[in-house]
Amino acid sequence: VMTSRRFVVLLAPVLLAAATAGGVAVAEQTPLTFGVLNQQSAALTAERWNPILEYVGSTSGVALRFRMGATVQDTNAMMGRGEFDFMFTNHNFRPEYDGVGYRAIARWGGDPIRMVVAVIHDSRITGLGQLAGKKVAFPSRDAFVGYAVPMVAFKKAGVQVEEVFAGNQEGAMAQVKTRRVEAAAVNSRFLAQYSEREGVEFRAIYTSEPFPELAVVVHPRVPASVVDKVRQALVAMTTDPIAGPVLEQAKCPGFEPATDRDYDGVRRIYRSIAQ
Amino acid sequence: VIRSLRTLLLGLTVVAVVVVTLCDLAVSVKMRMDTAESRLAENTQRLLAASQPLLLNALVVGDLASAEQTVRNLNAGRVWRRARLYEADGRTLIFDASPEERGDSGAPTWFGRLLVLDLSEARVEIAASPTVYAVLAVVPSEEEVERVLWQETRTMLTLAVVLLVTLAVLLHFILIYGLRSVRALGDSASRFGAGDLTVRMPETPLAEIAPTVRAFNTMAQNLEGLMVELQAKEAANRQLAASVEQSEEAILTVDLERAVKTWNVGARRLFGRSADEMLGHSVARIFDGHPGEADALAGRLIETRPPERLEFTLTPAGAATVVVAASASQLHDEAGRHTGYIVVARDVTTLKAAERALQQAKEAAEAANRAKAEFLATMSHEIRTPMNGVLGMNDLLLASDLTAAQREYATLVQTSARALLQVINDILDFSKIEAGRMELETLAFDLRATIGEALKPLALRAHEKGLELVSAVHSAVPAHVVGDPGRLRQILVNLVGNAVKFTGRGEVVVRVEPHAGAGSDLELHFVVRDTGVGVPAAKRDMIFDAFTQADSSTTRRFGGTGLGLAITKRLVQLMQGRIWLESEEGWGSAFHFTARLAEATGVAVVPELRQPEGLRVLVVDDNAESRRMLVEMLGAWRFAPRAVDGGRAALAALDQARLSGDVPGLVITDHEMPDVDGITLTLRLKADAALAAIPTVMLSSSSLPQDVARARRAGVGAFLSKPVTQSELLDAIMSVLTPTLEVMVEAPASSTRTTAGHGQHGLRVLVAEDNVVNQRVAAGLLERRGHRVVVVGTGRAVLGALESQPFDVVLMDIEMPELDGFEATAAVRAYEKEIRSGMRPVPPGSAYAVAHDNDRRIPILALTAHAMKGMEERCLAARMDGYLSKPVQAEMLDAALAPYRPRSQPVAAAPAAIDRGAALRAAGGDESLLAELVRLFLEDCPTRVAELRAAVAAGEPIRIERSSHAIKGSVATLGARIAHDLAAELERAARESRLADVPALLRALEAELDRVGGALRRVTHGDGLAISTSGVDVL
Repeated sequence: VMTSRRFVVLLAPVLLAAATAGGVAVAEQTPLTFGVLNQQSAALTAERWNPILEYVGSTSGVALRFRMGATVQDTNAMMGRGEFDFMFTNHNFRPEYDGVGYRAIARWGGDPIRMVVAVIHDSRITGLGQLAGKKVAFPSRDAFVGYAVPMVAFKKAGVQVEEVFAGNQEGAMAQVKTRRVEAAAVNSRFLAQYSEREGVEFRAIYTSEPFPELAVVVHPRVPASVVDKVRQALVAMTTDPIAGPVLEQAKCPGFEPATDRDYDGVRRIYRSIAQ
Repeated sequence: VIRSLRTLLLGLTVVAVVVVTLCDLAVSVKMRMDTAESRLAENTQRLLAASQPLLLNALVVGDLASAEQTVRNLNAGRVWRRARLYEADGRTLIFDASPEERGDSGAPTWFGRLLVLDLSEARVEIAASPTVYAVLAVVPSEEEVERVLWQETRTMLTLAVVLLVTLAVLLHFILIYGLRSVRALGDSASRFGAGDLTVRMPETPLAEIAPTVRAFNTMAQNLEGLMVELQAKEAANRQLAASVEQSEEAILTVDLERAVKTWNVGARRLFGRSADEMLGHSVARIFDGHPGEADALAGRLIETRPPERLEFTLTPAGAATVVVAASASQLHDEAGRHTGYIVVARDVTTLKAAERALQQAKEAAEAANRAKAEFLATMSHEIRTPMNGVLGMNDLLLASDLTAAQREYATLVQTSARALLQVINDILDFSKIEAGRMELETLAFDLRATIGEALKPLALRAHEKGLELVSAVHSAVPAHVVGDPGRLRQILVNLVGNAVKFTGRGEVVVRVEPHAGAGSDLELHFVVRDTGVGVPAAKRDMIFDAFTQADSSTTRRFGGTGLGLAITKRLVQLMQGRIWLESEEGWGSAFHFTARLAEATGVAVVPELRQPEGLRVLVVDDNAESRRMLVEMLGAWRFAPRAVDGGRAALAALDQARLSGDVPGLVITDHEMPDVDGITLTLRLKADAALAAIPTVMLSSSSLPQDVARARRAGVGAFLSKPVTQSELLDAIMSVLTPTLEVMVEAPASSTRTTAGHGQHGLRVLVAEDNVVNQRVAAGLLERRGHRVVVVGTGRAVLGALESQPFDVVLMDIEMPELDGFEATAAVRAYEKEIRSGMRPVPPGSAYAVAHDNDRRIPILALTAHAMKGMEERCLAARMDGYLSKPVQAEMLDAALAPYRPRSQPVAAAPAAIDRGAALRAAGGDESLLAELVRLFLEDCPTRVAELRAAVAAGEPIRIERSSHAIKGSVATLGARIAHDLAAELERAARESRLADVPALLRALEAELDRVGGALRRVTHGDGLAISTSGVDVL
């Protein structure tokens, strides 16, 4: 019973998407699954990605079905089992998923991001070494820039800090603002936005090397022609007027072509953590 | 049927409250139901909106268990009766999360059934656009609504019950309180009905009951009053019936058939018959003593209404005859039907006797009164006759050649005799008044002239003492009034005479004003004020009593009988006025009196004078009274007077007037003034070119020729002696304003008196007088006046004389032997009638012939010592032509004879036409002025005569009067006395509308003016003066 009900739930968006395609793009095959890493709630993630997938499906003729796990762990587990044909993530660069075989075909547009360890402007702390034993806030244990990168940096500096997880980027910065922690490790883009909005001056005591945003990766079973269609459709979004409202709704700067090589730095960080 | 008001009210109130509460509840529940429905729908929508992201989270990742748990959590409060999740198609059920059992709203089942809630299913799509993951469908639960509504309803019901109980309790007490009054009212009414009339309800504060209580009390009061009144009336009726029954008067009633119905004690006594004898029988029985006419008398009796009385005699058996007076009144029943008569009869025997005695007494008294009046008349006659002799003979004696001593004695005799005559007159007047025989005449007369005449002789005396005598008649006082001028004059002479007598220096002022507050009748207020010795307060009340003066020494000092004021007071009372005195001893007195007169109508009104209206007149006089009088007079003539109090003030006023170009048209100035006197003022005026043309009239207390001359030389236009009458003043003003002939007017009174006789020469007078002394007096008086006199002693002799000799006038004594005056006159008139009818020829050379030639009857003037009122009327009724009262005074004689002067003046006997001496005096001794006056007169005279002639031809009395007045003025200045007298007579004739006399007088006046003209021309041609035998300068 449970299986059939679930099946119906999953089928409904696909049917709906096919209907709205107006019959131009007929679902000639079983839709490919498109997984998304849990960065926001499932509802918000669906609202962001469903229109993009709708657009890419109708443009490329490759039907894509949005799918994710209830948690990061669930999603990563599904990824490990190779359940997604395409996926938006960077966890595939972790050493434990090396055998699954996902490879990058595109990345979220925009400048690379850096990790910043920031203190409040009047703090006496000027370097990572001074944070030893102090409370430092991180967005999440699963965060790459928010946790993996600073942990590598603290490790290199030989500093042991008291980890505080704030849930997300802004939560971490709010902890510094209210002086509950000495410092926070956050995404450089968010830091600038937050400082300006809240009128709080921060001082960066450490800035990491740049890392690209998350990548669209593909499972090796997907034929190259399908992969090309999907990549082309994704990359062309920034220039297609029809895609404009879709990108705007998803707050997406568009997609750029990428390869695994672009993520060597990420892979290195994960390796370093794993040691 | 509810018998208690209380139950009814309570029941109705409960029903009303229940109905109102239920209606309110129904409406309220309905409104709340609607509210609750919409609120429920809103809640559902809100919950659905909130559930969407939660469900989406679960559905996106396919976590249906979480989704179902989420829905159940949302519906933990059982807000939804049903909650189901469908596939995107909305039909395929995914799960049903409806609560297993219905909640308990706490409301009874019937209440839930009463509610009809419209709760529809709400649906919401769970979607992440464009993908729809599922549809959530819910139906809200009605339990909540039911619960809330039930709670509210229960509260309202509870409140309604509390209200109901409270109301019922309150009403109960209110009704108990209110109904107590009603019950008390009922009790009172029943006690009242049971006969206790004193029952009254106490006042209650309840507005609804109070009027009823008051009405009850008023009703009780009225009923009680009515009952008391009824009882009183009943008692009165009983008393009345008893009174009637017991009355001394005979009172009986009869029906329409004259049958006696009641018969009281008085009737039994008067008629001598018992009630048994009379009741039911005809009332005619009481006239049994008049057999044969009893029924007729009974008929007359019941037709005799009070105050008429039927008198008849009655002789009851065994009693004396009595006189009975009876009358009857009709009786009517309540419906007004005539049912019979009530007869009241009374014994008037003694009353009749008293009446007769009274009548006799009255007749005796009247006889006595007649005798007294007769005595008075006789006394008057008997005293006057010898007095006439004394005075007349003494006059004759004085006219003869006497030594100085003789003249002195004779003069003293005259003075004493006149004083005695005055005393006698006073006593007679007083006696007449006391006897009630003084009667006032009712004549129309000129009030101002009368006052002027009364004051003139007194003025002489006043001026001799250096007093100012001023009279002022208010302009509102009419010119002609009706009353007794003689008596008014007597009053004024008396008061002013006293005032002059008792005033050493200062002034005497006579004022006449309409009496304040008088109605349509003319009541005048006279004041005679002096600055004399005054009257002490103690004497003021008795001063008007007979034989009283301020003190006896006054009598010795000033003389007099002391009767004057008593007579004056009586006269004032006869004029329906009163007299009183205001006085301050040493400062003077003011005698006030009022007199009721009537305004004369139909009397020729003084013609409207053609003076320049609004002419500015400056009045200069230091005497305030004079000033006021002048301003008043001038105002009445429509001049614009302005008064100043002296020469200095006048000059200041004139200076100011010259500057403003507002120069007065006339100045009237007093002669003697303390600062700048009148003459100086006039001189200053004439010296100023701008003011020299202003004419000036001067008033003076002096009439000395040298003063007049000074005034004339100073340029005074007219000079008047005080007191000035209005007519004199107006004459003077008119003469100076029309400077064709400048006239110096002098008071003519004294001069005319002494010269009047000169105009009446040549009358042939028959005197009929039996008293030898009086014969001598009359003859002497007349002869001295140039008349020819024949004296006869009886009436019969009169007739003989008239038939044989020519006479112009007969003076006829009334009391004569053989034929008295009336009889003789009657005979003369009969004789004349026979002549006129041709039955008898005119005896040639007789008095009849003279009269016939003059186309009139023989003038007969009565001569009598009867100075009683009514005598003159009797004389005129006896067809006499006039009346002279003895003792005959010269002036009266002249006036009486004046109309019968011969038509043509015998040339030889003509007196001088003009008196040059008088003319020269009038001209202030200025010969050239006199010449100028003469020239002006000669130029002006023909015009004036022509005017007069035209007026006579037109038959207009007013114009005649005016023209003759003008001529009189101009000839007076020239000393033409005869012309003056003729003009005056003509003026008088015109004023009295005696137009028949006018043509003859005109002829005489024209002839005299010719003579005057001739004489004046001789003056201007330088003829010399002639000296007359009488010592008067004549031309």
